[in-house]
Order: sequence, then structure tokens, then C-alpha cells
Amino acid sequence: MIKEIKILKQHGIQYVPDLKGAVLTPLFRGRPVIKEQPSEAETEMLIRLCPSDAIVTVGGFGIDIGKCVFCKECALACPNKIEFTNDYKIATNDLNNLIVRQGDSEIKFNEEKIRPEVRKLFKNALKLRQVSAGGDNSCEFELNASGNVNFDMGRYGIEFVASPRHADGIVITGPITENMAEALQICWDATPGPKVLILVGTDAISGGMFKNSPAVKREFLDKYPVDLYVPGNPAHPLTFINAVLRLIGK
Amino acid sequence: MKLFLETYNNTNSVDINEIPVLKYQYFANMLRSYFADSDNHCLSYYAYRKDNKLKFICAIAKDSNGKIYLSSHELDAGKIMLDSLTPEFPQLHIFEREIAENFGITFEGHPWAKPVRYPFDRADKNKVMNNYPFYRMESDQLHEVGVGPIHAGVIEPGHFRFICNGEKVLHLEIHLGYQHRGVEKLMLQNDNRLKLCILSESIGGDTAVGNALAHAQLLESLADFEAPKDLQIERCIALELERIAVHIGDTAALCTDVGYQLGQVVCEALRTTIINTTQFWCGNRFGKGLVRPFGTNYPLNDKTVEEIKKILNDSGKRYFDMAERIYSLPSVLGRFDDIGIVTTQQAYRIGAVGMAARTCNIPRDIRATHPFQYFKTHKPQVVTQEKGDVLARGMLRFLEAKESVKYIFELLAKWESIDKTNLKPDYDHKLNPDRFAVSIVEAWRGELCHFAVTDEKGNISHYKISDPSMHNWFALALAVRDQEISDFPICNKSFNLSYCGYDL
Amino acid sequence: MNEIIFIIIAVSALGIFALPKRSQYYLMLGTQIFLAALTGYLMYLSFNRIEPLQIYLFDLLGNDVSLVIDSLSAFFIFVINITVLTGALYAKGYLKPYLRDKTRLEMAWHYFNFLILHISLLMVAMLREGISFLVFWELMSVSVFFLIIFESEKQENKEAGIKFLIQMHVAFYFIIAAFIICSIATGQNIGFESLEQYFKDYPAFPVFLLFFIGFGIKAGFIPLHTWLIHAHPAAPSHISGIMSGVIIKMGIYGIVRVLTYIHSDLMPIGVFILIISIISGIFGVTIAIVQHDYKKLLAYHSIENIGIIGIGIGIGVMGLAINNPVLASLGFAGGLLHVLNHALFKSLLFYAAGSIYQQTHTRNIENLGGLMKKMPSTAVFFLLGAAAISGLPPFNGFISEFLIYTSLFKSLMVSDSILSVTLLAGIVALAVIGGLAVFCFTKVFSIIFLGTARSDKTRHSHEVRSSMLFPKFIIAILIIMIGIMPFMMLRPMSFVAGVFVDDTSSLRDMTGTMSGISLSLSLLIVFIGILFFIKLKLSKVRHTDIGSTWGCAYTGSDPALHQYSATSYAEYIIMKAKILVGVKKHFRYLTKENIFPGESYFKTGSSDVFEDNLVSRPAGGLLSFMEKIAVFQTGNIQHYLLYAIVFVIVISIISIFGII
Repeated sequence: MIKEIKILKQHGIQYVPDLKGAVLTPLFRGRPVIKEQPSEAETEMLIRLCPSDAIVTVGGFGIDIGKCVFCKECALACPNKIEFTNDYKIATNDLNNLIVRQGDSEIKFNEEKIRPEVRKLFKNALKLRQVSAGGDNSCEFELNASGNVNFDMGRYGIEFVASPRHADGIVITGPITENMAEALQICWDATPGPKVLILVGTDAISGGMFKNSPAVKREFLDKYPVDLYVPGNPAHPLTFINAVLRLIGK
Repeated sequence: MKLFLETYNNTNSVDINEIPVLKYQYFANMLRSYFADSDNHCLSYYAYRKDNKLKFICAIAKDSNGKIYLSSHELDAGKIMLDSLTPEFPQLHIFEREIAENFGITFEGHPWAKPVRYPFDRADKNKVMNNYPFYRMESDQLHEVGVGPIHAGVIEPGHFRFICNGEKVLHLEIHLGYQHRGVEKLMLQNDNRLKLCILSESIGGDTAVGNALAHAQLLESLADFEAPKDLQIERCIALELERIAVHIGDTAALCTDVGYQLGQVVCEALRTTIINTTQFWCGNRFGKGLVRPFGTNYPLNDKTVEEIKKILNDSGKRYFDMAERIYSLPSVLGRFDDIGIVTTQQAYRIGAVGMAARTCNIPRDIRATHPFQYFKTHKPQVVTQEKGDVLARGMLRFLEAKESVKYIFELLAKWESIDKTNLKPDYDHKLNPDRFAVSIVEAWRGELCHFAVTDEKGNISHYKISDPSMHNWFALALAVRDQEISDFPICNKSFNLSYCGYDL
Repeated sequence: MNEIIFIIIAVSALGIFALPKRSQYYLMLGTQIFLAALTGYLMYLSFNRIEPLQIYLFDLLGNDVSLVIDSLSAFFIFVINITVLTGALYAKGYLKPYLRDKTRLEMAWHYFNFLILHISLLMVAMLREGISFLVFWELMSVSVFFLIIFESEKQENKEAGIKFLIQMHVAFYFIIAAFIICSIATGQNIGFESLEQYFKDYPAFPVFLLFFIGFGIKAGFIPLHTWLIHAHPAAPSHISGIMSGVIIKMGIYGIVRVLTYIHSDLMPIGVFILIISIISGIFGVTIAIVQHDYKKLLAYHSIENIGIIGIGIGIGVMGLAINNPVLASLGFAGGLLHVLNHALFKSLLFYAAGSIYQQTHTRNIENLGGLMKKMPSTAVFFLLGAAAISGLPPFNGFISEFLIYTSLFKSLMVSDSILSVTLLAGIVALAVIGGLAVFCFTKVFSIIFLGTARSDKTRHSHEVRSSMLFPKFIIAILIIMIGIMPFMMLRPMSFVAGVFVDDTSSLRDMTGTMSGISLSLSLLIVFIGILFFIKLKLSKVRHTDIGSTWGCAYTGSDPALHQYSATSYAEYIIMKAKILVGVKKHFRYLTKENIFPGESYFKTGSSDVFEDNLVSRPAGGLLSFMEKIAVFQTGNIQHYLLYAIVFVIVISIISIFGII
């Protein structure tokens, strides 16, 4: 008993008091910023360099953080043009807003796209069923960490549940492998409506490194509207929690 | 006639044509003589298409002298039958099954010829996830419990089929393949080697440093490049930090499963501090981006070293206090002791490696037996446990974390005294043509092996990844036999094997 | 008057043989209804009198043979009539599939024996004179024998029938022996009347023991129960229901009738009955849990309930011994009410089981599953019976067990320490039995009706025809009535208990409690009904999706596999009850050394420890001894002549030397 009290005292207060205002370590690879448009030659080099085809040239130079694996090699190659800040609020509900262009200072949420029943029903409690459809376990670890004693998303009523019947929505990590596609569909069908669909991690949003692999089958995403995209490799717990809070309007 | 080619871990590559090509019965005899000595174990045994033949490569590791023996045999096109060696050496079962699945070879006499991971390019497309041939027991009085692929917690997918009599598990069979993404085929994209680095990190996100290191070593072997000492030290520190972080996390998971909340929250918080240190160092909590071939983007600097020392001193001590408390609490011990036992004999026969082997008193630790990077110069202490039960696996994590903390401090001391080269990664470094290289890393689960073959232009023509979970999933199946089904979660968490590393 | 009745019955009985197959049934049913009406009238007449009703029948060897009907007999007449009539109603639908294959003579013989059974049951309850009693007792056993082997094509049925016949005759000899002893010792005629005198003059326990063994074999007390186990599954279901409902109760009737004459040695008798009943109850229910055959399971439950009845009777006798009218009247009332209740719910369960067998042709519960969707009415009736047999309110089992509990609790305070311990043992035993019964029935009900099919034996099942549902419905109504309005049984039971105890006021005092129970139960039912109604209304408004059961999204599996099997469900108890139950496992555990297991199988079977040691072993020993002696039976006439010569020589030597 004495030992437990001693350990508890050392443990102290662990929860992060302000999840929206926390600051991560300076090297954290969060939202990229395009300080200056790269030249033609540089753009060519960057397109060849980027491992996940995240460089966008249509409509000006941009980085699609839905495809970006946050390796930062582009910033290391052109440090004057591209910089990765430690801003972790990089989620949105609109795919177009995931493309970072010169002059963007934040990733915007599209308020119109949020379905009204989501705000009405899930503001105070959102129960989610997580499906790992080929994820590499780093996003799963981070989602688990979102509920731990430090980040404690349970204080907002956000929780992962065991059965899709108890859930209000599905969180997908991983690129959706062919072997997992049918199971994912069954899980989606077993969730009672109204339900939300959240994609966490680069692999889920765009397929990441695996988007051209024949082992991956992403037709599921064409069928249903996605309510939230949470980028990251893996998505940091603060990214995820802030994203969900934004979605449910807290 | 030479039976094998000797090489060492993470040194020069070998000429692919110098690996002896034996006739199958000599190959089998060679294996017989090698596996008779328990000092040897099979690292991997796989096949790939070369011209219009099928080339089989076998790599055997000998623990006492740090050597790796390479041998091979070939099969002409059209021939699809071989005698199985599994009845004599159960440790080969998974490799023969993998070859059978990928290329349609029938291993005659294989007692457990079942699919491995249902890859998209498997030989028999009629075998699908729905019709896995589970082991059945003839009875109308037993019932089966099938869990997964979608499990209750936030965890990777896999299907477990128990045959139960009441609460007792008579047999467990594990059916994976849900995470198969086709990594090995994607590793042949020679146009952009950065892709290969990112892919390696994605093989198993929780082993990002381990896999990235194995890949980096492999490319450096293929280029006959030896990393400078400071790079070696940094890589070892990163690997050990990953090990410590995951061990603390596993301790938290074990406490969760037995309902010891204090242990759970304290260990969760401590793990956060460790991975935040990695984030401080390189910007990613899992160390993605930290390890690259031929150099690094995030060399250690004084500030980072300060941070590492501070956190390890504080969190390390708190973790040891907590772990001592956990493993002396009778209510926790009552759940861990004598549960899920795998004996030494069984571990040898199925070829267990890494932590699963060390908890059964088999001292297989690549850092000591086939050292790589700075482990060659400064060997760490190998920790083993004897009983092979859940308690042993828990204690092993605690003791290994302790060793790792001590080791990191020793390395940091060394780092402070040597010259810094601060090499940058090189994604265009030329690789030697027609070579074969082996790169093994002792990741936190066990020995992670990457093998590659280059063609005449120096491009990678075949890449093979062998995760320690390939060997060890069967240990879980054995551990749960004759246990109560309610003990399955702690057995599973005590092994903590990789689904995506197995499925590739 | 008597002669006319006799002639009507005889003509009807024989007339069955003359009719075509379809009409035979109606003649039998009609005769039974006639008999029931007649005896019902007699029953009514007898309830309102202090002295038993006597109706002279005929002369036998110089003795009057009369029907003597007191409240006890009247009560049993009621039980007999209800059970036999509902059984007969049920038999119509149950026997229909057999009409095609059986000949006219076979069916007539079956109906004839059924009628004879009814007659002999009634006569046994009404006769006191020894020889006529014994004749009808024997007739009862013989007719049941023929009814059991209805499906005699199957070897196991024939064996069961023979076992039954042999054991009934062993019982018969015990009863005759006891009657003879009493008759010789008192000089009176053989019959129950002689018991009055006998028990005044001689110690009661030894002869009581003889009677107890004889009647106890019929009742099915452990260790005398081994015929029950085979007879119930072998017999067609309407006969099983009647067997469990009424025939074994005649054993109880016999014991209780003998008890009415005993006024000494009451304490040892009471304790003896209590202990045997506790053993029967606990063993019966434990062995029931291990069974895979649902009819065998129900048979073991009958043994358990006989145990409960015996606990009530034992307590009653103990109450008489210490002159505690509360203990005595509540004990007897509870025990005998349980006779009626058990007849009701056990026959209901057997009829439901019969319906299941008719639709699936298997008695192995491990092959069933999901029948709730296919046979909903039968499922509801089975559930009702299961709840009643477990003693759950608002059904009748609760009421009789409640009476027994009340008698035990009320008497705990006013007894000395040894008695208190015995009473406590009774309470604990009842509680254990009740708990295990619930366990067993949740297993049976769930495995048979819930989930999905475990084999394709249920593929062609559908609900049974209404002629089979109707008798179940009647019984269900009675069960619920007794459960919700228990006070209506108090007056009749006080008459019955009055046969033993003079002061039955404690029973009448229970009216208040019983009304309280009834009120709260009715309120409960109404409340549940309201909740259900509200839920129904609410769920109409919301949109409901229907999908398959969540199975962790595994796509390839067969849902039948992933359900509990009966053995698995009961595994925990089976492990604890190994000694009693004699479970045999044919199985080799997969050791961890056996890394890649080859083919293996798993089978458990159970054997009845008593049967093994008391019947099978001695019988086996006897058989092997006989085989050795059979050596002498050479078939050679010369040898037989030699035996004769040897015998003559030996006799001559013996008599010459005057040894004998």
C-alpha cells in the first residue's frame, strides 16, 4: 500500500490540461508551409524525390498532406521553399483542404459539409469502432494512446467500443487491403445509422505507399461519404482528438 | 563439394553465384547435420524465380561463432513436388508453407500444409480467406470459438479459432493475412530508394527503427559500406529507445488485462515520455525518418543527449519501481504465474526466436550472437528467463528495459568521446551488382532479417523480409493449449507478435 | 349399478379390437373420459366427509372388496385423471405417424393397454384389500410394459421394457413379503387393514423398510431407480409423460398409504425418508446435467422431483414424530402438492419433448438448435415447463417448494439441535437442487431452441399439429393457475394433510401469505406486460435494420460451430461431479509436444454409478457364473442320466446315514 502511494505521488498529474493549446516538440513534423514557390527544376526534382506522390502542380505548387508521409525530405532538399511546422491541427473534412499551398496558414474545416445530425447527436458522446484494414500498427498505437492517461479523450465522451452495434461511427486505419475489404464492409453494415466515417493516417486517406499495390482494394471509400480525414504518419493523438472535437462541435 | 557459404551479419555482401547449389537430397542432409546441433537455427528459407527456375535459399545462423551459413537448391520449371523436411524439423514448417503458397510447390509429407498470408500473387487463387482449412476434432460435443478479424480493442486484424471443451482450450489455430499489402513486391521499386526506406518503416510501424535499420544495413552491405562509429552509436541508441518504449507499453497492456489499473496508467504515462523523447530527437514518436542508409538526417546533438539522459533517469527509475511492484503483487502474479507455458524443448523445435526464445531459456539475441552496428564493439547483456510462462515474458521485458537503459548510458558516454562525421543519407549510392546480402537486426520482438539480391546493373531484383513473428506465432498457439480461454488475452499480449510484419 | 358400469367398461375395452384403426382411439378416449367423470364424482363426494367414502364391489374369497376413498385417494384420483386424459389427448397427434406402419391389432393392443392402465391406476388408489390391490398393481406394471415396448423393432426398447418388468417384479415381491408378514403376524387378511393392527403391536421400521423398498422401486428413489432411466427414453412420449406424471407417483401413494397406519418409530422413519430423498434429489439433478439425451435427462429430473416430494413427506413424518402440527401439515401438503405439480409440468415437458422427437427424429441435444424459430409454440410450452420445474414464480413448482421451505423454516426455531441440523440439511439440499435444476434447464432449453441448428436434423422441422398443442395448453393453464392462485389449493391440501395430522390450521394460516404471493406475482406479470407493450409501441416508430449476428466480421464461417455445445456448457459441473456421474472421456489431450496434431476425436459418455454397481455388475457376475455352470448342460442325454443316478445315490447315502 505504501509503495502504491509512493508511486502515485511520483506519477503526479498526468493529463494534458488543454488539448487544444498544447505545444509539441519543435522537430515534430506537422503542417508543411510553402514559403516560396519552388522553381521548375526544383519541382521536377521534388516530384521524383517524393516517395508518395504528394507534390501537386495543378493550380500552382502544393503538397497534398493526404498523401504525404511526412518524411520531410522535400524540406531538407529545399529548405528555403518548404518548411514543416509543428502544428498538429492538420485534419479536415474536405479532401481539397488537404492540399497545402503557398500562403496557407492553417488547414481549414468545411463547416457546410458537416452533416447536421452529427452535431446534434454526437456532441456529448461519440463512440467509435476502429477497424484496422491493413494499418502498420503505428496509427493503432496512437489511437490507443488517445485514450490513455495523458491525452484522455474520454473526458469529452469519445471512446472506442468493442462492437459496431454500440458504435456511432467507424475509424479506419490502413490502406484497406483486399483481404480485409469484406470484413470492413460487414463492420460498416453492422453499425446502426446515423454513423460517421473517419479515416486516420496517410494510408487510409490515400493509400499512402500502397496505393498502387494490387493487394489493396479501396472501393469501399467510393461508396460512402467520409466525415473526417486525419492525416499523419502516424496521426498524432492530438491531431486525432482535435479533429474529432472539431467535427462534433466542441 | 562445398555445402554452404559462410558470411557474417551486416558485413560485405557475397557473390550470389558463390552460394553453393546443391541437389535436394544433399541439401536435406546438410540441414539434418546442422539442425542436429541446437546452436543452429534457421533464419529463413525462401524461394524466388531466377530465369525459368525456382531458386531456394536457406540461411542458417550459428550462435556460438556468429556465422551465417548460406546454401541453396534449385527446381526446374514444371517440377512442383519436393519432400517436406518439416516432419524432422518443425521449425521449417512456416517457410515451406510460404513457398508452397507463393509458387504452388507441394511439400510431400508436410503435416500442416496450410496457407500463410493469402498474398495477391499466390499460386492457387482458389484458396481464399473464407476457406482456410482449420484443424477440426471429430466430435459433436466440442464447440469452437472464433475471434476476429475485428477484435474488441484497437488492434490489428487476425482470426483465432479455438476448439474448446467448456472453458478449456484444446487447440488454437491462428489465421492471418488480413494485413497483406504486398510489401515485398513494392520493395523492388529501384527508381526511388527513399520509397524503400519509407516502406521498410511501414512493414511494422511499432518496429519502425528496427526495420529501417535492417534495410539501411542491407543497402550498406550491398555497397560494401561500413557506417562510421558515431552513426553506429546513434542507430543503436535509437533501437534501444524503441525497445524500452515498447516494453513499457507491453507492461501497461499486461496490467490492463489483469485489471491492475495503477500499473496500466503509470506505464502508459512512462511510455509517453520515452516516445516523446524520440519525437524530440527526430520529430516522430516512432522514430520514422530517424534511420536512413549511409547517413542520417537527425544526428545526435548535445541538447538531445541531455533530454535522453534526463528522461531515462527519471522515467527509467519510475518504471523499475513500478515493475518491481507489479511483479511482487500476489494478485497479479496469480494471473501470470504458470500460465501459457512454452517449454524449452518446444521452443527449440518450432524455432522460436527473439523474446519468445529468451523466455524459454534459449539465449538467442542477435546483438550478442551476430552483432551489428555498435553492438560489435560493445556487446549488451543478454537477458533470459527460464519458465516460459506469462510471468517470464513480463519479467523479461522489465529486465531487458533495465539493461537497455544501462546500455544507452554507456553508449552516450562513448558518443561524447568520439569524432562526429554527421553523414547525410544517400538515396543514390551505387550498389554492387550480382550480390546477395543478409542483414539481421535484433528488433524488440526478435531477429528481423532482410535479404536482397542485386542484378547485373546493381538494382535490387529480389527482396525478402523475415519478421520474427513468422517463427513465433506458433509459440502462441502452443502456449494456449490446455489453458482456460479467459487466459488467452494475457497470453497474446505477453507475446505481442506482429500481424503486419507477418502479413507483409 | 356396479355391474352395469363394469360391463360398459369391459365391452369398450374389448371393443377396441373390433374397430378399424381410426376409430379405436376415440373409443378408448371416450371410455377414459367416462371413467374420469365417474371417479371425479366419487372424488367430489369424498372430499366433504370425515370418514372415507366406501363403496362395496364384490366378494373375494370371503372378504369384502370395497372402494375406500379418503382425501388422499381422492387427490391421487385427481392427479391420475388429469395426467391420463391429457396424455390421451396428446397421443392422438403423436401416434398419427405410426398409424401407417403398425397393424390394426398392434394399435388396438396399445390402446387396450392404455385403458387397462387407467383402470388399474384408479383401482390401486381406491382399493385397500390386499389381493385385489396386488392384482391391479401387477396389471398396472404389465400394461405399462406393453406400452413401453410399442416400438419394439428397436432392440434397446425391448431391453428397457424387460428391465422394467424385472424390476417391477422385484418390487412386487417386496410388497407381497411385507403384506404377508403383516397378515401372518396379525392373523388378518392380506391388505392395508392388517397394517393398522401390525404397527400397533410390532416395531414399525423393518416392515416399513420392506414396503419402502417395494414402493420405492416404483417411485424411483435412488438407488432403486435404474429401470426409470431406460424406460423413459424407450417409451413413446405420451407414455413417458404418464409414467413420470402418475405411475411413479403410485409408488409415493403406496408409501404414504402405509405411513397413515404407522404411529410409532416415526422419527427414524422420517429421517430415513428425508436422507434418501435428499440423496435422490441431488444425485438426480447432477446426473441429469451430464446427459445428452433429453428424455433421459427428463427421467433423471423425475428422480430429482421424487426426491423433493420425499423431502416434503419426510419432514411431515418428522413433524408427526415430535408432535409439531406446523411441520407435519405443511410438509405433507407441500410434498403431496408437488405430486400434482410434478405430474403437470413433467408431462408437459415430456409432451414437448415428444413433439421435438417427432419433428427431428433424434434425442441428442447436441444435434439440435434454433428450434425456437421453427416450433415457437412448443418452445414456449417447454420454457414454461422448464421454469415450473425449476421452481420459479409465477408457476406451480414455486408454490409446492415454498410450502416445504416454510415448514422447514417455521420449525427450525422450535426444535432441538440435532433436529435443527437435519432441517437445515433439508433447506440446503432443496436450495442446491433448485439451483442445479435451473442450470440444467437453461442448458437444455438454450441448446435445443436457441441459436442456430447444429446439424441438419432440424431442417424439416415445423410446428406440430394443434391436437398435440391442445393438451399442453390445458396443462399450461393449470400450471399458471396454481402458480398465480395458490390459495385455491390450500383447502384441498388441508383435507389431504388432514389424513395424517389433526390440526391443519397452519395450512389455513398460509392463506394470507399465499394471497400476498399471488397478488405480487399478478402485479409483476401485469407490469411486465405493460413494459412489453410500451416497447412494442416505441419500436414501431423507429426504423430498425436487421442484420446477421456480429461475428467479428469473419466471412467464412458456419455459425453453428461457434455456439456452445451442451457438454461445454455443463463442463464445469461435470468436472465437479465426476464421482457421482461417472463421466468417461474418450479422448487424448493434445499435448504441446504434439506440435502438428493429426486426427483426433473427442467423446464423452456417462454412466450411472448406481446402475453400474447395483445392477450391471451383479447381473454381469451372475451371468458369468451361469456361463460357468452351463458347462454341465452338455445336451447329451447320457450325461443327464448320469446326473440323475448320482443324485439318487447321494440321496440314498444321506438318508441311510440319517444325515437329514
